Amino acid sequence: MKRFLPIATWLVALFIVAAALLYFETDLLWKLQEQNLFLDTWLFFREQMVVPGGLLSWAGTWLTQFFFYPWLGVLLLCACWLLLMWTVKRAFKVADQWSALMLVPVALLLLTIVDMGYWVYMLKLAGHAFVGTLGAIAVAALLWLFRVLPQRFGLRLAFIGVTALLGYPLLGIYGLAATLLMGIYVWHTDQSLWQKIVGTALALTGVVFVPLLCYRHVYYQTNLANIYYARLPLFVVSEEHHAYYLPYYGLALFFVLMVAWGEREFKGFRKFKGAKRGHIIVQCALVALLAWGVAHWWFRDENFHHELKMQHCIEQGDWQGVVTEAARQEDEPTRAIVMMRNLALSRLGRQGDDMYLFKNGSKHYEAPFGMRLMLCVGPLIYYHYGMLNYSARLCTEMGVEFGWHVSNLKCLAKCSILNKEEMPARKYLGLLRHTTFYGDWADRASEMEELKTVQRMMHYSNMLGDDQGNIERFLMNRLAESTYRDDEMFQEQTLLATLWTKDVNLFWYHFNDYTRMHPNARIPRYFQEAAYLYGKLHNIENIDRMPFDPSVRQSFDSFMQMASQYNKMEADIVRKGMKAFSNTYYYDYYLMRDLAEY
Amino acid sequence: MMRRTILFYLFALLLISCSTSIPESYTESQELPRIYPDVIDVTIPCNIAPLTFQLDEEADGMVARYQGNGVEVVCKDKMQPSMSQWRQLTAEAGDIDVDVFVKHGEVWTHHKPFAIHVSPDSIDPYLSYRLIPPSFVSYEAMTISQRCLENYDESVVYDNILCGFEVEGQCINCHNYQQRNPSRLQFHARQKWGGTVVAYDGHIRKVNMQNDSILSAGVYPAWHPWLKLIVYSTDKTLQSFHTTDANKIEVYDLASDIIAYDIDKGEVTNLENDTTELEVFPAWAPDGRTLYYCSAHYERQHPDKTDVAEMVRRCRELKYNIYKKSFDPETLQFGPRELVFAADSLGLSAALPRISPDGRWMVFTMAEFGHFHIWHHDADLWMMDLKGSEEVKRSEEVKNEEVNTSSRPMTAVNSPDTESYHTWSGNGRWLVVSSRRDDGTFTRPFFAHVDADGRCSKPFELPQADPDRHRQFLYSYNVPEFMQGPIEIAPQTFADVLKGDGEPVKYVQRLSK
Repeated sequence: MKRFLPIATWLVALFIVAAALLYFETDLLWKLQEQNLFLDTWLFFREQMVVPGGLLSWAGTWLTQFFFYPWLGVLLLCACWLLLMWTVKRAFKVADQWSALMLVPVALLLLTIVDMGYWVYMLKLAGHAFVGTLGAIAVAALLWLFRVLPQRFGLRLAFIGVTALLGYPLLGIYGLAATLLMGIYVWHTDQSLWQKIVGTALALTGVVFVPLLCYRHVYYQTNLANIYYARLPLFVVSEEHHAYYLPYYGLALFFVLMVAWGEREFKGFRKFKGAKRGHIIVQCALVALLAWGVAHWWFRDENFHHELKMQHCIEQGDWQGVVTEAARQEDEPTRAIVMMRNLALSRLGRQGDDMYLFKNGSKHYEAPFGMRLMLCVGPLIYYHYGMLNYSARLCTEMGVEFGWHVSNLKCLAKCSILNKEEMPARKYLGLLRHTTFYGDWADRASEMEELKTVQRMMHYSNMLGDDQGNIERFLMNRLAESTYRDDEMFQEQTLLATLWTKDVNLFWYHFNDYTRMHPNARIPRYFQEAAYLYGKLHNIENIDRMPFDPSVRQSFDSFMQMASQYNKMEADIVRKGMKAFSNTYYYDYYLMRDLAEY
Repeated sequence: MMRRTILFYLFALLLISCSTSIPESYTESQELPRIYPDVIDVTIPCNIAPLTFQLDEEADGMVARYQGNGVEVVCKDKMQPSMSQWRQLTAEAGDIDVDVFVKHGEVWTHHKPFAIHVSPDSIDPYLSYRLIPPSFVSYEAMTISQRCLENYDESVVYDNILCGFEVEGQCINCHNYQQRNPSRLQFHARQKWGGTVVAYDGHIRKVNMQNDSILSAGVYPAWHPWLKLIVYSTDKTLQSFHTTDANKIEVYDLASDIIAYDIDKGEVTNLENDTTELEVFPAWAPDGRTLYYCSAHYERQHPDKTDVAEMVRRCRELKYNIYKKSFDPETLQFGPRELVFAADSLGLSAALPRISPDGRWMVFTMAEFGHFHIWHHDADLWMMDLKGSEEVKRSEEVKNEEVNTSSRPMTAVNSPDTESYHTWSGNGRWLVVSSRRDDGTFTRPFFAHVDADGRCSKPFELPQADPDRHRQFLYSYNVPEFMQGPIEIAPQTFADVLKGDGEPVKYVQRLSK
């Protein structure tokens, strides 16, 4: 029974981790595979292999794609972690009583996934979710091999050299780590002193010079500054963000300590009185510490998770799901959330009546770098608003900057189909057919219902310009300036855009069109509120005789009455004081101007 | 070692895949097969890498046969002859007869046979190009690469990541050679560690061409055929994006001039800097006595607007003509400009003049407006008979329209989509053309044969070991330039040079010997 204790401990821990991942981070897991690309082509393999450790990325992208079914991806991840724990245990001959110790690398590797936050949009390391795990397994396996090698013929010394020479090209930094650890481990073997010295010197030489050698003669796509970090994610935009490397430092420390500790000490602990109870207590404390650490560093930002959920819903065409998620909003939302919510409301035909019923604002993205709406949902927003040139452009730019992903290719394919660019569409769809899970999507892409809706938004007049990275402003201005009126959906968006731009003349232009196009229909509440507000502001005659809903006038009067109490006060104070009116256009017009644009 | 292993397996694969036989029974079809890349009736140089192709339609199988010079090669699924088989097929000029059999269900169809014409005219053994995704702003992944045209070997000349990434990233462009000599080259790096790299017979230097007396550092280069002299355009370039137009982007110059740079003396001088002219794309005639370039007349009309706003509004008015200046290699002095081709009289705009090695033909790109035609779907190649043009000029006083009479679109080379950058081979019998005919977005090099009378053949696409490669490849081939051999300088050496300080240039009123 005792011999099943380690595996039982690990399985219980992995079950908890898997459950937590699937319960809290389904959308992140979905996003990970959307931000991933694995193609079953020789060209793709070769493109991965042009950097040291490319094999890890190739394998990592292959495994990441299985998050398409989150349970399957998690199952594979847990299987890898199980293998890691088993390999580490074998490599260091860890006694069964210390099985919980193997959870340390798993917890650290788990953190590399759940603490990444907005790096999910930015990280360039292909296959990131699995690369660390595969690298750690390789390190442990190589150390195990090193340990079990016979001492004859200088095999161990040769193995150090081979690991340095082949490990770096295939495993990047993990190959170097394995070499270095062997250089330490050699002191626990029964080698002669000179062999130990040679082993360590060989390891150090390999670690220092193999990357330099490879830089000069093998690779041309690695910057000299990063040759020793090959296949580590680089948390750099304009500066290095060291906090995100902590799990990797921890992983390195774990391996160094395990090697330095050696097997004898594990055995030695048993000699102490009360050792049995002691190691149970120590291990319980360790597990508690790991659980606390994981919980503490798990990125739980509300907006980040709303954004992921909304993107996931939009991808599935579940507009109601987006609105439901918006209703759960507690914090001030980011503009990405506001735009996705408004998009969903417009698709459900509710934007004119409901868009101010939800929380509004422009909270900065909880990222250590300058995260922007453009990077988060730029291509998606442009696409659904029918500005396909800009969507395709952003997809391409992001493909170049952060690597090609399934999401880029899907978006480019849809844009090409809608632009009737048959050959580019064929190219992107052809590539998606080389993926494991998006072949079917590619086969039915041109018949997607969603395309018909987006097509109704493709009525902008051509203009040469640049969005300067301010997507919402650019879109709203282009919509407000549009004069196309043969599609009700597009025309309504032009009117809604004037509520955002707060351009009174353009509002009346589009409002008149709207009333002509919907002669017998009820005018949505916020159009009425805007018309009444502008009518009052510009002293339009007979504005009070027009058929507004009575509540529109009442709320306007109440708003103005209360607003007079806050005359010349700071906007933040007024916003709080007049929160009761946040569901009106008046509030938006006066108090939600000049929001920060991230 | 790894490369050899891979080649071995590839070779084995090719042997297996090309050891099939043609179907025993089939029906005949008078339709040509739909294949990719299109090699139907193309003319190829005798030393080109094997032409491969695959079926471009849904089918249950394909068998294809090459026959020529008494050799028969049959492959299934993809036509991928081995190097030795191909060498036998192309050993002598003539036709390679091609048969394609396509299987639908259990029925094989033999499509109308066609030929690949093997020309005795060889092609330069190497081609270099910049591999760049078709993005407009980002340049995180970019290389200047070289490809042996006699086989499939490709290597990197320089990768921009060697010097920096992210906010310290680097853009590289405008690689250019003196007479296709791979040891005499130059390219630019922009932003971090920016400068112009000039390599000349083993001596590599970085030049900082910024100078207060010139508009900008050198941009589009033209090496003099034998002097250590490079002429550049200097450009204040901007780009704007279309919201709906199929061309997606406009790249235009707010101002541009022409300068000359003396490599040995490190001196620069303005050759053309009229503020009402936008001069660009210099190109030398092979005799080294004439410099061609493009220029558009542009004067500000709305001083109330910013220069950018006015240009955005009026960029469709930019019509570039082709001009030339005489040059005395002894004194290094240039003559006044003369009109060569008045594209504006046709309501069009000309760019990228390139003169054939025999000095007779000038090939250039034409589109409705502007000069950055790679982003113009209507861009086509035109050819002008310079000899004919000179005769017309000598015979009488001529108008602009008449100067153009010896010019014509290269219909055999052009496609419904973009044709843009182009270069002549050393023997003047081949033209490499940047074309977006495959998909309208990704630029691929195509090669066309040009005979002594200027007649062109149907171009063929840069051959690939796997014919599907360009369908999967997410990079464009930018600025294809022929080379007499490979560049031997390691990418890291270029990086080392770029990380150093650039040699400053000195402005002079005139270059002198």
